[in-house]
Amino acid sequence: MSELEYSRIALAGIPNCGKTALFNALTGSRQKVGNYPGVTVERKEGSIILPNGRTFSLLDLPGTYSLDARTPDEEITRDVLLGRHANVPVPQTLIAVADATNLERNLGLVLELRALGMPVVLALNMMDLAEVRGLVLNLEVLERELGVAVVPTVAVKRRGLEELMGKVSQVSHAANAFGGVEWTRPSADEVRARFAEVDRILKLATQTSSRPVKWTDRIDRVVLHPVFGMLLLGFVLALMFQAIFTWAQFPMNLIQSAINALGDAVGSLMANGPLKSLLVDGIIAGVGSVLVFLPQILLLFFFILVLEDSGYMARAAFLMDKVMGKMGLHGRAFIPLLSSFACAIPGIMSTRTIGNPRDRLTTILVAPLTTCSARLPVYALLISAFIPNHPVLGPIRLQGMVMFGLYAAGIIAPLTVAFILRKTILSGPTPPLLIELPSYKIPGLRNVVMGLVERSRLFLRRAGTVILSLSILLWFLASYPKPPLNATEPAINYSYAGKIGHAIEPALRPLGFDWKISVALIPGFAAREVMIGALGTVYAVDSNNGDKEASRAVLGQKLARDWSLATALSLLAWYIFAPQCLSTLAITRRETNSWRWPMFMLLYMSLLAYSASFLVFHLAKAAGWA
Amino acid sequence: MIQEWIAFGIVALVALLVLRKAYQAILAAPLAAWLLRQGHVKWAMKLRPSGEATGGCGTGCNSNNKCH
Repeated sequence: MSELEYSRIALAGIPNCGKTALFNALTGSRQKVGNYPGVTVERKEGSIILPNGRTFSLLDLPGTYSLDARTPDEEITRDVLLGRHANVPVPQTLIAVADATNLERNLGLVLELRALGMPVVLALNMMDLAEVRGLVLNLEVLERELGVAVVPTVAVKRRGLEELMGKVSQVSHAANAFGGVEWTRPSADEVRARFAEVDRILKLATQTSSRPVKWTDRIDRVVLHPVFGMLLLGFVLALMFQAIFTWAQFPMNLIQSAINALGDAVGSLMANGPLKSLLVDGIIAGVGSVLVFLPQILLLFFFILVLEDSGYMARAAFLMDKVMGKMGLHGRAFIPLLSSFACAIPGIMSTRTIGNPRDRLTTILVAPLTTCSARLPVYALLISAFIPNHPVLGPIRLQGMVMFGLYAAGIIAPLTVAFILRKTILSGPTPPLLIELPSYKIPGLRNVVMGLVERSRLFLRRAGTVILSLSILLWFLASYPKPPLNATEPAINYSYAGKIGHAIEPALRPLGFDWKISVALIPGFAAREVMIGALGTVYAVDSNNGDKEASRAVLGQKLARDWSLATALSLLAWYIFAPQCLSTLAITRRETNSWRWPMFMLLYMSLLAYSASFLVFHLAKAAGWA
Repeated sequence: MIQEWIAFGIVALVALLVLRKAYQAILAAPLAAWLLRQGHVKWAMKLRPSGEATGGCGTGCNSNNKCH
């Protein structure tokens, strides 16, 4: 493919200007997410094929306010644009994305990008919102004064995209190969001069200024109120967790029925034997018991995406800053901690937006304590098996309240540990939070759907790789060696899994865990939800001894029959704190560039998990729940 | 008996894949680095993590225009 046919384009802009929405709109499904080599800031790339057959590769660079980078992710943007990044070639053309509702804050970076000398096209994004607010711009004057092509766009509605790519095509045709430039940090006078230039250009190009958005202010008066705002945040979260249980029930039942039907079909087609047992008890029972939680995970992400897209998330960060500041966490830690509710790995990766190394390390060390989505299947299984669904207040029921409590523990635990870390080994001042509150807007359906599709893909891939592999291995361990002819105990007790479980059991017996839980916790270290698959396999193999009713019962019913409430609560407490995710430890090693901190994380989380589980089990036993 | 052989075959294959994955994730990088320090460049290249070779591909790297 020749150079002219295949051009490299990068998207650059300040945070929250709509870069990623524009990237999604331009590339659709033709995108891949990876990391920058050597560091772990997310690298989003995609390709665009124009009707004339010309192909562009598009790179979504991390948001930055200036090339004078303050945080590790801003450094990536600067290095790529200046041709200093060893593994990413310098882009040939640049799309500068600016939020049209807030041009004063956005155009400073555009002037910096223009000064680099590479072809730049300015996408004036969110133009519809700017027009609603009464902003009228003379685009010709803006183009002339900025010295770059300007195209108004509305990324979430896919408006202006063709014109934008037309302009990009024109300027990149005219461009010569760009080999990077010398750049020096600007002095304070130069920065002041740049902002004076922005003011001058906007005065010339603005025909009618935008009116202040009164309704945003009115909503913010409630949403950001120290009391009502916190109450509203609590209500939104409680509603979210209740919905995860209520709305997900129907699709979960459907998936469970499909898995049962598949198990029955495979079982009836094959003669009894090891292969049938592997397929039914190992693969279908193991993978199926995790797959059933897909609707709940998607609902959780639906809420996160909608809250983020609507502009509420930034307000939640603002509300939480005061609390987080008191606990020694920087306000910028809110987004990594919030991302950790999906998975600690992107959460830890996104700590690169935190400039201060101490603040960053504290956030990395506490991020795995937030309730990641891999914990959700474990929580959901145990709650539905052991907690009665009594109504508590209106539509809120006890199961939803317990889930809310577990998520609250996932907020309180990282804050408390952060407080202790900042008072002891990581002490030092915490700088104040500066955050831009975006305008409220209706979430883009396309963005939400793409986010959910991506999340489903990741979950299914995990089910089809890690969970499938470990279910197969665990089936072998739970099925072999076969019991002797004169066996008096259940067959699984003679198996490798039984022997391993019985060997570990004494250490975990004080927590109320029997050998089956003990053995299921081991593959759970690969990924938390694998424990559900492991329990599914162990119980399927164990009940496959002629007891037809027991073998057909879903996992929750088997656990409710086998465990006490004290054991279930103890396991829930274990899962709040346990460092059961090797990938998290590996990413901590990469981000801190040392084994010292992941080992510290493993140690402190294990100690917390053991202590909390021990305490909960014995308190529950004292309450008569054993 | 045939069922047993097929089931064992699947388990053995999965065990190999899991071991390979574990080797790639845990052992490959430090082993390759150690071999490199000892001057065994050829062995270090052979034993390095498999994703490392393509990790530095530029934005245009795909099946049509491999960077190697």
